[in-house]
Amino acid sequence: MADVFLKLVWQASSLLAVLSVIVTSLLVVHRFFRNRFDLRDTNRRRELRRLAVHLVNNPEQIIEARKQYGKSDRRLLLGVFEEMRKQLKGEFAERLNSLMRIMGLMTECLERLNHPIWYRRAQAAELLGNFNDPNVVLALYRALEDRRLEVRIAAARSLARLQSVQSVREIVNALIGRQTDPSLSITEVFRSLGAQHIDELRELLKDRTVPLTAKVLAIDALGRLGSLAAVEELLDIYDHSHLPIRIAAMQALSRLGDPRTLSAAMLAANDAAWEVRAQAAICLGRIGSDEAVPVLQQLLADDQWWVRYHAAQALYALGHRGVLCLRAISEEGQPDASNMAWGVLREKGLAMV
Amino acid sequence: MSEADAMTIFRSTVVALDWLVLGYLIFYCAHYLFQLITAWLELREVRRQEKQADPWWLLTGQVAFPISIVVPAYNEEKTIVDSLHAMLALHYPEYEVVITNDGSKDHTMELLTTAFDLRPSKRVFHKAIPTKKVRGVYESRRFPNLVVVDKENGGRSDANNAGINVARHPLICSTDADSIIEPDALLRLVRPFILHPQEMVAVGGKIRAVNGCELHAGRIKKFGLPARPLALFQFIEYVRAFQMCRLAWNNINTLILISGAFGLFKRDKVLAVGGFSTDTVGEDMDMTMKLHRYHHDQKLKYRLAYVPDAVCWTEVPETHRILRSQRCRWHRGLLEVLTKHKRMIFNPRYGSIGLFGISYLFIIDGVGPFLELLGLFIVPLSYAFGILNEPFFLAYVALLFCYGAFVSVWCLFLDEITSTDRTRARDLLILMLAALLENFGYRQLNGLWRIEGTWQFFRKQQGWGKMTRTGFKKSNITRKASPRSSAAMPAGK
Repeated sequence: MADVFLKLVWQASSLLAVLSVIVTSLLVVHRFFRNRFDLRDTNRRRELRRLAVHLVNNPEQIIEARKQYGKSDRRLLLGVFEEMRKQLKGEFAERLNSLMRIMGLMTECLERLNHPIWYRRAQAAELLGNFNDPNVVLALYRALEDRRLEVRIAAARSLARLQSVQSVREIVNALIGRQTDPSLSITEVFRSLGAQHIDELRELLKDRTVPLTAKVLAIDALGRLGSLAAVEELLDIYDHSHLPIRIAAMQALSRLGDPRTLSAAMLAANDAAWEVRAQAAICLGRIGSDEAVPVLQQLLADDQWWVRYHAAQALYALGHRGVLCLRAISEEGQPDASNMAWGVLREKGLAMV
Repeated sequence: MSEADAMTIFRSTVVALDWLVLGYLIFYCAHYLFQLITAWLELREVRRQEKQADPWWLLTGQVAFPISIVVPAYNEEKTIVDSLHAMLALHYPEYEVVITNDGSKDHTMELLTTAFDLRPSKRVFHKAIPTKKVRGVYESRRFPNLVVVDKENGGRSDANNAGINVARHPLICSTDADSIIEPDALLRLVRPFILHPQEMVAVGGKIRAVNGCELHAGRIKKFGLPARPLALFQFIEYVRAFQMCRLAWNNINTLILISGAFGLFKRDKVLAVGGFSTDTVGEDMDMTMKLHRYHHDQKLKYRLAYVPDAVCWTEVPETHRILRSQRCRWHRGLLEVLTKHKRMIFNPRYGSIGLFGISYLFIIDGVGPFLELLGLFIVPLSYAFGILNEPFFLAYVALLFCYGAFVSVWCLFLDEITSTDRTRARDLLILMLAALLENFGYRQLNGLWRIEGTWQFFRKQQGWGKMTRTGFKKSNITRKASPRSSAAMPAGK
């Protein structure tokens, strides 16, 4: 029995070794041809790019130039388009889009949205964000129901780029689900929704059925969009029991810097989570009211280094009164507070050595 | 006891040892087969993620986390200026380079001061991790994102910790002063943090051997293979470690090593585990284990990831003496880490890292070298004296040599299908031949060095060994690798 097993082991191992030698030979041959194909592709791609640049500068020649592109160029053209689209802006970007539409790339991307490999579908959804066309918008909406999150994110991003998002809730349903740690790509989709969706985002904050993760993203987007109309909703939610919401709300309020936030930020300075206290310090510095000095003074003695640091920076941001406070604390404050006050004064070139 | 009885006992013992060695080899090979299959599955998904990833979006999308690149430097006068220029030219939206001069005895600090026009910095920083005395912090007049920390010598970990204290950004990228990070590698490395911003704790990149490549302005101009066999064999080892082991471990969220030569860590998590340990030379593996342990102990959800398309190039030793010193040190570091985290070994409380990750290290890297060496003596002798039969001997030889060649060649296959370099067919042929040849001599030599490392560990030998540097050459690498650089121990070789 043992001998049979041993025989099996050495025969199997030898077979694998022989197989390896065969694979080695095949790989070397494969590499040889792959290098040749790659070189050919690189050269053709360079030509296509040169031609595309020429046509972007001379749009009247687009129809005529179409003859120069062969059917086999489609694959390379997609790559060239992807590359150039990121580098061109304004009128030139529009011309490139027209060129690519004439070359049939929009149709190609629409077809690719049904490709069995998910990354090809995602790539197509991403590229379609350059074509403002009713068919594209419809197809992207369908892509929001794709089984892969990556495809749905790419579709949502393209819809946002085309300013064609009809309802933020649809985006929430497509991208968030039960996720508790959503990708920053989703954060970016929310940020790029545009000012026309501010009211919808505010509504999300009030709705109890909306997942907390979606609320965090909505708060972040409102802060980035800079809408003071959102301050009231943010003030309603800044002391929420869910920590990420408290942090996001305080961050958004810091960005907005509205004076109505003052009392909320002063209360948030006593939050149990240091992240919220640090954000509260930043917010108080941003509002710039002298009323915040005692609270910032208290935060300067916080256990957490980052809270102390932001409190000191906020005091400095308050101007003369804040600097006087920093000087006083640096001379006779509690050691941690005194060190931080002195350090920030030194950093700003105001310390008396 | 009669002579015949003694002979029987001796014979039985030898046969038992032979079977132990063979059993170990079968386990070893089965494990590699498992890793190969898992790596293949993981690679399919990773390749799709890579294709879909858009570095341009990360560069312009304002979502990428700011990064502090922390670089410890000790007697790096030959390479430091070129290395830093290359690091300051990376593609990433917001990052700073914090270089720590760890009490260099050469002119590293003077060179830095002159080349980067340094002046004392007034930056406020938190001494969150205790380190040796910091003599001064400097900033560059020419490069606002460069900070230099000058401190007393305390070793690589201490220098890293000093850099982390001064760093301001939420992510810390640990690297070596003589490593070459590819221009877009940070954009790629940060991807897992973008996908899982809360749960991701640390991410490792791929390390490749730079020997034989042509360099220009601190960047790889042309890919080439090392000319010397020792470096060539290490090239294969790195491919095996990064293209198979890391990918396989990544698939089951059980990464056992985020290399100190190119790893990205969340700063708050690094602080939570007390920074890099100064009591081990395997500080990067120790950090990885500490992160696993901390999150399991605190019952926190977390992830560690490996990104195979984020590449950092490092030089591998080309001489027997330096390689031996490096391998002994690595093995010593491994044993130190195993000793420190012995509670985790075979402990189901630590999930897959306890049951598989660290236990694998213990069996394959801790005990394995002794069994391999034992087998090299005992099996041929047993066969020569007729204690073992031919099928046993053939099975042993086939597992030892044929299977090793099989694994190496298939790792190269995995590398080949994902590689974006234009490797010449001739180079590939050389690599394949080296993959077959390394099983005859080089692998056994490595086993011996590990045993020497074990000896050093039990003698409590300390330190990193002597530095040897000859500096970058503009279009060719002739530096000798530093025995001190972390240079990515290919764990689970």
